[in-house]
Order: sequence, then C-alpha cells, then structure tokens
Amino acid sequence: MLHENIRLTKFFILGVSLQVLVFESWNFLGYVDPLFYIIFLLIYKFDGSHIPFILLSFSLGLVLDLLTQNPGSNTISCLTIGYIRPFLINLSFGVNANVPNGMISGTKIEQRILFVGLIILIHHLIYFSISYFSFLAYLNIIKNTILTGILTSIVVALTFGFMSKK
Amino acid sequence: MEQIINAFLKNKKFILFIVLLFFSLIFIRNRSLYHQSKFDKLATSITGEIFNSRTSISEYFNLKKINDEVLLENKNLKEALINKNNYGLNGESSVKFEAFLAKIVKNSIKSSRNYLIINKGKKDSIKEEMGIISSKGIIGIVNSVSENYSSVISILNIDLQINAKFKKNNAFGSLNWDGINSNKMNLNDISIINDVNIGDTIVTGGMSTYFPEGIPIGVVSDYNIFLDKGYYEVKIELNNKVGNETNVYVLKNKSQKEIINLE
Repeated sequence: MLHENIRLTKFFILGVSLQVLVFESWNFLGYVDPLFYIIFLLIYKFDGSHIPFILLSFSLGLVLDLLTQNPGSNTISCLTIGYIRPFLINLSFGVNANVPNGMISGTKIEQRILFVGLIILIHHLIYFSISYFSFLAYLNIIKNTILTGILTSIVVALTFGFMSKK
Repeated sequence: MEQIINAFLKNKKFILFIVLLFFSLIFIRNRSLYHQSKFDKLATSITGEIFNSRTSISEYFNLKKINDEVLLENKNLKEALINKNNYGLNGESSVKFEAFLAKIVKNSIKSSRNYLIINKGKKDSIKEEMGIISSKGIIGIVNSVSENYSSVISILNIDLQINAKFKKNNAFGSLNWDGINSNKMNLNDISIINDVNIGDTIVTGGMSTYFPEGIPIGVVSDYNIFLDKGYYEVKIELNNKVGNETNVYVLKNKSQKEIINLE
C-alpha cells in the first residue's frame, strides 16, 4: 500500500513537472503539445478506490491549470476521466477488468490499446472542447484532438516501453 | 431521512463528480474572460427561454381576459365606425347607435325559420327590435327579451326582410332568405336601370331602424334579369357564416322610438 502510494506520488509529480517544464513548450508542428500527464490517469490501480482517484484526477488537472495558465480545461477533462475510468476499464478489458495492475501485465495488447486510446480520445476531446468552448470551432477541436492524441499516444507508448524494460 | 442518506451514499461518486465539476466551471469562469462571456451568453439565453415559456404559459391562461379586452375594444371601434358620419346640428359628432357585447349561446341554421339566443337580456339594457351584427356581417334582430337572455330572429329566417343596398350606387332592395343555402340570400326589387355585376358589395341600407347604413352583408354571386317585371333577382353570398358566429354586437338605435312614432 505504501509502495503504491509512493508510486502514485512519483507519477503525479513526474507527470506535472514533465508536462510543465518539457511538453508544454514542445510546439510540434508549431502548435501541438502532447498531454503527457495523462499517464497518471492510466497507471492508477484498476482495483484502487474510486473516490480518491476522482479527487486525485481533479487535483492533477487543477495543479496543471494553475501552472500552465490554462482556464480550466485540464481540470474538467481529468475530472471526467477520473469519474468514467471504471466504465472504460469494463468496456476495454471485460472479464479481466478486476485483475490488479492489469494494465501492465496479464492482458491482451488490443485491450490495452483500446483502453489507452479511449482515455486519450475522451480526455483530449473534452480538453479541446473546453478550450475552444464553441460549436463553430468543431473542426479545430477535432483536428487538435487527433493530432495531439497521436502525439500523446506516442509519448505514452514510449514511456510504457521504457518502464517495462526497466 | 434515512432514505435520503442512503441515496446520497449510493450516489456519492456521482455527487462528488458533480460538485467538483461545478467547482471547475466556477474556476474556469473566473479565470477566462472568453469563457465568462460564453457562460453569460448561455445563462442569458437559458433565462430568456425560461421567461419566454413562462410568458407563453401565462399568456395562455390570460387568453380569456385578453379576448374580453379585445372584444370591448372592437365594440368601441365598431360604435365609432357606425357613428362616424352622424353629426349633430352644431357639427359635433353625435352617437346615434350604441353597441353592446353579447355571446350567442344557442344557434340554429337547420330550419327555415331560424332563431338564436344571446346571453344578454333586459338586465343589460337589451330591448326588442335591436339589430345584431358580428364583426363580418349582420346576424339578426332581437325578437323577445328575458331578464338575462334574448331571442333573436336570425337573418336565416324566411319571414325576415332586411333593407340592403349596393355599396357602389346605393341601389336598394329587400334582402331575404330562401330557406335553402345558409350562405346565400336573395336581394329583390333592384330596378333594372341599375348596373349589377358579380362581386359587387352589398351593405345595409339604413332605411330601417335596426341597422345603421353601410354594414357589410356580402357580395353578388349571381343574378337574373326579369325584363317584363323591371327588376333583378340578385343572389348574395354572405360575408359571415351565421352558424359559426359566437361574439356579436347588439345595436341600440337611440332614435328608434322617435322614428317609430313618426311612422
């Protein structure tokens, strides 16, 4: 339990610092920045308590918004993912949903991709919808969701690859 | 109370989510002018919709009151219109006809001698031989009066003859119903020296004490010429459908008694 808490704290701090110090100023293609901190929303234990996770997700978004001068899109997108994550786990992993730490080991690769993809897609869609906050900007919202989503997926996949080797 | 607490505990995750979401929205509104203006716009449109619906609902419930007000206003306008050409000796306009609002409570067009009943009677200053008109045309003449109701001889009654004339050349004749079609009446005794065309407007003649001059009745739909007798038989299509009328005006001719005494 203590080990798990330390791991969570580590990822929380790592996610926030890397996002603020490194990824926020990447400006890939001129304007695309990966949202690396989403890794925290992925690595939280599948069988972990839900209420602390909702609070942690909310805090993560809030801290990021305060540090990156964002109006509040991180807070709402992280909070929503925090709330709907158990449904996404059930949707992606089905019978394996109750396996502790199932994300890292013991599940099929397609299930992991589906889970990560869903979380990134929903998070980014909410993030850009809140940022633009206008139906007229739907093309920009979709374009940014796809481009940033791809970049975030690559960064997250590389991080997971690095973690598993280690 | 226990049930409320249970429901609260059962949905605690959702409630927590909503509370935090609400906080996030306040946060976002306070941090960004753009989002603030968007929220304000949304709030304004929602408030507008709510007030609009509320107004529509209250308007619906006020329809009767509004209807009564409109009827009253119409009555006054009708009265002004009827009396507009009546001037007293000093050049001041004088009120010759007074109008009262009434509702038809029983109507019939099936018989050849039709009567109808209106919801105003002696109590409302209704007297016999007053003319009844609607917004579109004439309805009939008061036949008998009780305390609260009056019986009216409908224009759809073969015994009733009404003085009417052509609006364009004042050629007058006598209007009566043949007892067949409730939308059509006959105008007799129009001399053949007058020009008659289909579509000509027929109005009241003003020769009787029941109706003032110039109340529209209908238009010419057909006519026959009887050269040997020297007059036309003109078919009139009525402006109003007597069977469908509800709100009517009872006209009181202030000079009626005086004219009858002279006759």
